Amino acid sequence: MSYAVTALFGLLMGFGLSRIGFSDFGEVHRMFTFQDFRMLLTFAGAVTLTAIGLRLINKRALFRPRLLHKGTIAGGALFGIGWALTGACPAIAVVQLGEGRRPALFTLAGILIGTWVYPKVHERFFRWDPGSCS
Amino acid sequence: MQNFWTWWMGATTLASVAVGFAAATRRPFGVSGIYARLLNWREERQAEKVQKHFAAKHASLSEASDASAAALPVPISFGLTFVAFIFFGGLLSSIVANDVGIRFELGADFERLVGTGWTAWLALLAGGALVGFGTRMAGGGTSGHGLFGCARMQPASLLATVAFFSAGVAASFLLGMQ
Repeated sequence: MSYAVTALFGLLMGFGLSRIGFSDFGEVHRMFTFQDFRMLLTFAGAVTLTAIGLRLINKRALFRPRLLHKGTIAGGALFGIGWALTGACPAIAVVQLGEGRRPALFTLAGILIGTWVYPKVHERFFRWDPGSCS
Repeated sequence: MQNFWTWWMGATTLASVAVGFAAATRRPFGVSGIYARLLNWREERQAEKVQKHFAAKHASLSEASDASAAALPVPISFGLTFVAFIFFGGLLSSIVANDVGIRFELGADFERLVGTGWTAWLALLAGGALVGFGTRMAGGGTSGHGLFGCARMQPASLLATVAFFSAGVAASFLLGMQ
């Protein structure tokens, strides 16, 4: 793990997501309302190609299993609603800022607030094991 | 910003980033997790101190087994670097698209569907909070669950991805109905 490698992939990720259209509210909305299948195909294609690629490098990867717990589906649903409202997932808010879209500051602020609030709510109200300490 | 990539160009790029990153670093990435760790920086700094101390004291032990290596988190400075360069990636994209400049809007579609002014900002704040809260609750977002998790056919990721896509679809249709 080197900073150069990390930086390069971050750059490619941000660039790619923007060029695909994931940082464009209209494009995301059209994806979610099935008016345009390009982005859905992009995502499905990316998952498929990644599946093949990861299998090819399998021996090297250090991946931990992703735990299925009570928060998995409910959390996913909440995230989806937020995604439809803002047009952004966690990475996209930063891409939008890079594109110079100032409203993304509100989105990012909201994401950080939600991220910060969750463990406090979990500690107080939720009883399942999320598989990590934080 | 028009002239978006074709689906196969986008798919190839995203997959290359994911597989390339995993090949070079042996790990997946996930921005929601990076935010969580950044906000937890005090604990992170403590944990890194303990890790360094332990590694120094037990340098005689040969390289940790893969299982224990996977359990050790990478220093958060790498996550910060990754996110910082996602920002630059967005900037580069706007340069390439000949569309550089600070903008105060998210596009015509956003203004039509969500609104303008402070009500829109409130919606972004609330929506963002749902994104942050929801991704932590689910244990990942579109990179962690969506890309890596689904590629590895992890049941949790497949379910989470179906959940957030379905919710996104439902919410978007509702938004379009007003």
